[in-house]
Amino acid sequence: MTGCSAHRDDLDAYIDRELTADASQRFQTHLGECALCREAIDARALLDAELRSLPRVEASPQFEAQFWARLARSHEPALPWWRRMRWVPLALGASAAGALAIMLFTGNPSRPPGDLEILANAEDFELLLDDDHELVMALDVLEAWDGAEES
Amino acid sequence: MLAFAAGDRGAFETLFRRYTPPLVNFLARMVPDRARAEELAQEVFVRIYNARDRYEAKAKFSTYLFGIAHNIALNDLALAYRQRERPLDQAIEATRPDSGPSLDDQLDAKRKAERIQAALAALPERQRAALVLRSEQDMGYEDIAQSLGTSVASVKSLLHRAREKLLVLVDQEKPS
Repeated sequence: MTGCSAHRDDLDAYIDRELTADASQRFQTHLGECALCREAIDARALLDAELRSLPRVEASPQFEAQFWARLARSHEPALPWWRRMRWVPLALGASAAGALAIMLFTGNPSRPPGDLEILANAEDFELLLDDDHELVMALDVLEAWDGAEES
Repeated sequence: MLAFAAGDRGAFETLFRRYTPPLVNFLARMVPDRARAEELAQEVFVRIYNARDRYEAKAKFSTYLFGIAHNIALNDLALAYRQRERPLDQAIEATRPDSGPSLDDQLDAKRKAERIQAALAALPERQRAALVLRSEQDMGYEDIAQSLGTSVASVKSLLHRAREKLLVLVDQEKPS
C-alpha cells in the first residue's frame, strides 16, 4: 500500500489536499494508469475516514472547575526556604527514634544467652555435668542407706 | 488571545471553552490515561494564562496551543517512561481491545473504533501527533509543522510513515 516508487511522496499530500493544482492534476492522470497507487490511495482514504469517525474524548464535567482551582494554586506565592524545611526536625526525630529502637533490640547485655554461647563456654558446661554427677552419687548413697535401715 | 493579553479575561474564557474539546481529545490520543490527559490540558491552559504578557501573535492561536500541548505530552510520556511507573509498551497494551472469542463476531462500529485507537496508540509519539492534528483537527502541513516545531518536509515524512504503519497495524488487528 505504498504506491509506486515514482509517486510515493505524493500519496499523502494528495489525500491531504496539499499538492498544488498542477501537481494534483498530474497525479490524478497517473492514478488512471497505476493500480498500485490507486490501491494505496483507497487504503488511505478508508483509514482517514475511520480516523475522522473515531469517538471524540470529551472533558469531564468538573474540568473547568478543576482548571480554575489549578490556576489559583499556580498564583500562590512560593513558601520561603525556612518554611519548606519544616520537615527537617521531624525527620531528625524519626531517625533518632529508629536508632534508639535498634540499639534496644540488638544491644541489650542482660538478655539470656543463646545455645551457641553456652556451647562456646565448654568448661562451664563440663563443670555443670560434674556437679550433677556428684549429686546423683550422693542420692544413690542415701537410697542404699535407707534400704539397709529398712531391712 | 491578543485581547486577553491586553487584559480582557472574558477573551480567555472564550478561548478556553472553544479549545477545551479539541485539546482534551488531542491529549487523550497522546497519553494513555484519560484523567492524566485532562490534567495536562489544564496545565496547558494554566501556562497560556500565566504567559499572556509574553504572547506574540506569530502564528495561529491553535498552533500555539497544540505546540504547548505536544511538548507537555512528550515530557509527561518521557517522565513516565523514566520512572517506569507505567512503561509505554504496557500503556499501549492497556489500550488494546480485548482479544477473545468475541472477535469472531462480526465487527461493529465500536469494535472497529477500538481497533483503530489501539493501532494509533502504538505509533511513535511524533507520528501520532502529526496524524491526529491532520485527521482530527484538520490542520494543514504548515500549521502542523509549527505546532511540532519542525519543517513541512518532516511533517510529510511523519504522516507518510504514520499511515503506512497504521495500515499494517490495523491489518494485523483484523480478526481472521
